[in-house]
Amino acid sequence: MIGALSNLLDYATGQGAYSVSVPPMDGALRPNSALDKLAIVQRMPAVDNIAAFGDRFLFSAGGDLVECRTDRTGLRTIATFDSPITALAVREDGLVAVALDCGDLTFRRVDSGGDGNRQRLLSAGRGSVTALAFSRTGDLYACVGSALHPASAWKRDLMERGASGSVWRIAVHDFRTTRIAGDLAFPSGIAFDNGTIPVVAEAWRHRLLRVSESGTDVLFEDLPGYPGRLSSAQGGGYWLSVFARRSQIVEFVLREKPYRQRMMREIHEDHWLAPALRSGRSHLDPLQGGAIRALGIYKPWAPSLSYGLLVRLDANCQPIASWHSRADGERHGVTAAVEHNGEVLIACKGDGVLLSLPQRLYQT
Amino acid sequence: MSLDVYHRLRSRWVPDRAFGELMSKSWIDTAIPVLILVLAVGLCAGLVDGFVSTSSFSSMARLAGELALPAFGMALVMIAGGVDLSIGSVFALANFAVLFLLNVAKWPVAIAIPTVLLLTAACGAVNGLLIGYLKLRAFLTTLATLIILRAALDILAFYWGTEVVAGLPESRLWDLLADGSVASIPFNLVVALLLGLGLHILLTRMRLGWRISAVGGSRRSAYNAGINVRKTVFLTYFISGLLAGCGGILYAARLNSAGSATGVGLEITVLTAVVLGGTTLGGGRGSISKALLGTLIVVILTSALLRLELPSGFNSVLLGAALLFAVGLDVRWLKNKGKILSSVYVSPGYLALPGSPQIHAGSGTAYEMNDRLAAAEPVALGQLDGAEDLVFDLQDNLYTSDRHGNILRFAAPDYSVREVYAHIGGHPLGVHIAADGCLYTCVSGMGLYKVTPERDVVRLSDQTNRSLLSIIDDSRMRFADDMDFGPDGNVYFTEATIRYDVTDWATDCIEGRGNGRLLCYDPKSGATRTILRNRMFPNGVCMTNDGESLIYAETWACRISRFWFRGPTAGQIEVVIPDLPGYPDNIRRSSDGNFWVALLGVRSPALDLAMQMPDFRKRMTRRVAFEEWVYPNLNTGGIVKFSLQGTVLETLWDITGEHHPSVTSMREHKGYLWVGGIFNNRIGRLKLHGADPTYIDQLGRAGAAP
Repeated sequence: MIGALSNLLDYATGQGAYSVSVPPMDGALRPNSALDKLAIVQRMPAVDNIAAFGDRFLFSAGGDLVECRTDRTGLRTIATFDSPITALAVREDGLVAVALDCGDLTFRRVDSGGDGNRQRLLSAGRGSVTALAFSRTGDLYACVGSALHPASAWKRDLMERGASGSVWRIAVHDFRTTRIAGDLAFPSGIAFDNGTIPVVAEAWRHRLLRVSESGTDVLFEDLPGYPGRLSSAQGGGYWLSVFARRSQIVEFVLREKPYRQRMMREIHEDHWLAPALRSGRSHLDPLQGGAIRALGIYKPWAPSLSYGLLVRLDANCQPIASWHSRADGERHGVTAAVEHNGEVLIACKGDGVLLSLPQRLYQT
Repeated sequence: MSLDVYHRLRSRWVPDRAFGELMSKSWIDTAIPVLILVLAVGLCAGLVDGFVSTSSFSSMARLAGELALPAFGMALVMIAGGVDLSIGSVFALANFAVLFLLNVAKWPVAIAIPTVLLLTAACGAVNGLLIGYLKLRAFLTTLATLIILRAALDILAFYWGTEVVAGLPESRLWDLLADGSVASIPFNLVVALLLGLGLHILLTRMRLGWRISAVGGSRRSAYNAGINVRKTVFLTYFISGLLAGCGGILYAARLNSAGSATGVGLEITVLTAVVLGGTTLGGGRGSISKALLGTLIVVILTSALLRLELPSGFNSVLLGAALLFAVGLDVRWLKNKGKILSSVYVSPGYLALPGSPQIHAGSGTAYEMNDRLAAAEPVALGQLDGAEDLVFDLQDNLYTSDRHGNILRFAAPDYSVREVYAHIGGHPLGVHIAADGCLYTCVSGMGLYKVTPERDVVRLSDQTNRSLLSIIDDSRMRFADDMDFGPDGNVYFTEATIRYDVTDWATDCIEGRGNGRLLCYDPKSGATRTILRNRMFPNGVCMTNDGESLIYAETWACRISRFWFRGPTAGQIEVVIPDLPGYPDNIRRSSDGNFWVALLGVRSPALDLAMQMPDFRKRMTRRVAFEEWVYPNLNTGGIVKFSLQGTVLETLWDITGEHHPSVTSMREHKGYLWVGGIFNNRIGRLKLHGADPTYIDQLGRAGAAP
């Protein structure tokens, strides 16, 4: 009763759960234009996930699985699927796991074609895998963003304030699946602490968790953006791709149910008042007051629904450095970053570019 | 959908706009004491038997008259930033002195009263000298004079205490003061009201009053502004002493008593009354009417207690509590008034726009996106800031404005040198040149102005007729936007909104109500009148060629309408284009007899939906920083050519928005289309193929032959 009343009071005054404030980007997250200064490796529309193995990288771009050598040669599409690839992982022995938006999971070897055998991750509902990673023991771990929507409908899951995501362990040899955690608000990235304990990015709750069957620990919370894929960094720590930043207006819309419902019903998803991998390219996109082009200039600090942000976390999941592409930048929607052979390869899905961050720029 | 109906009806019929406008009035401070007064009367009428009776009201009125005078004095002192505690003793001194002069010295009343007033004014002057000139602290100084005068009075009472009350003076004036009435209002209240009126005029309409408020508001600023602060402070204490004396004389006439308790605690009663009325302790804010209201409240409460026959201690308890309450209220009100105002002033309405036509490239509509505007050659690049409109004279020189209040001129033929043609102030928006070479401009924040060829700035109009039921003063012009010359010699111009200034244009968009109007200036009489009200941000206006009608653009309604201002169908409105894909700004003639309209921005589905949800927008304005609000998409703008029948003939866009993101104006001149944007740093010049290369806009105007 008291809870309901105080909830009502918060709703009326905009406090508590109805507060729309967003943590500032400060300290290690201080904005810069570092992503925009990086060299483009390849323009690749819809480039999404990256995996590295030996002397080559694997990328997913839409339904295509693309391969390229670390010396940038030999770019070729090695497989094409009928559904967009939503996650990708390679095991040390060259086993590649590919997750598709339709919910299927398929395996192949790096050097040879797949056997066409597709498995469905049971009891994942209508959802699909958002992130994959192999642990040191060789088991595959998978994040399922939502039980209600496929990974491609992430925006709808956010706008419905979804919290039906889960994390699974899959024994590759017999495809035995175990649910490690559930009721997560869109887990969208996974990496391992010491190679064994999974660390998961929970996007809609803006935090990083250590997940095990016995429970979850919060490692870092109140991120100013929506955390996406995680990958291990050399020398300990992680690379965190933040695929969109939080903003007051979106936080406000998330607390306005009637508006959200009508928006989802009446407006095309691309033009919602919601975070996006890329916004401001269409005249139908919502524009915020501070983003008006004044005297020919689009301000870098203008409010925008899309943003580019890559964060280097230390072994305790505390941010120690960050690379940004601000409102006026053209490297928005960072979905993956993988460190391999003295460089970090970064996928900016929003603008469809693949960037390279050389070692000298991230090692101090 | 039922929610939709609710929003529509609510935004139409619930006057929350009026509440916000009331809150923005400076006299709203007085509403609180009025409310307390009504509550006090209601409470006392309910609790106290016989409270509502002629005799009770009459005795209260007599008391109020006596108390009001020192309260006025206290209010003046407090408005100037001080406090006068000595009034209790001054009051008692006046009481004693007048009785002494009348009963012991047997002076005539007409001489005794001025003498006593001189005496009390002298007491006030001592306070004034000490505080105003010698800069002593008001509180301690007046406390000391309170004690000294009280002690002196006690000594006097020791010698003459009985003589002074022996006998009554034979005087009609004295009797009138004692218990006379004018039209059944006690005479002393009449005196207080008359003096109050005089003081109100002094305070609000005269130099001294403004100085008193200025000194109280900010002593240092008042000093810097050249006000004699010391003298002003001195005068407030002087007047306070005089008024306390008046009160004492009225008291003497009524009671003919010189008891030692006379005037004891009066300073607290008066202080309570003044603060309850809403005069701020820190100075600078307050009024005579507030002091009067406070006095009435205090008199009603104390009389009610008296009638309840409670022990006398209760009176002090009540006064103390009321004082605490008033001080607390004063502090909270001052702190939160601005906050309340800013959160209630914006009152979003329900606005369901008709479906937007498709404009994306490949849509095949008349509005289909193209890159024609991007090809415009830049003019005056980097030399502009706020060039909403542009115009040419007959020598092809270009005139525009900036947001610093200047009219700028770029001389033909290369338009590279920027010259400040005239400085007006405000932010000039629409600029037009009349047949006589005068440049007319609508200046937001100021009104309708013209600049003669000799560069003299002439104000044509800055006010229109005040509407009867408008709470905010809609006679002043807040946001004059664009104009055109009528065939009858009048100037027809728009005022985009009467509720916001030019910097808050977006708030008017979020409000989405018809806050604007169409005005007509008659140069023969010099008068301006409102001819159309409640338009949705009326922006561009342009005469048609029939001499009877004009077309105007309503920006937030994405609509262009035609209005007949004279002729057989005068007063009629017809919608020309009901569903533009963007927000229309200025309208200008084209050489082929059609019209150009600038699109400030395009519609986005997210905002269109929000416009149907007033509560959503209201909460947005309260909770979200305004830089983060959803705006019309002003980073994509264009120009549409249309016929008077509403047919869209062609469209010019800048798809990327790099050069002309938002277009507020354009003018066709000698085969070129010139494009301006209020947020842009350039003007664009675009060759029009097939356009009349001799066309000059102001010569094409109906009834304005050179």
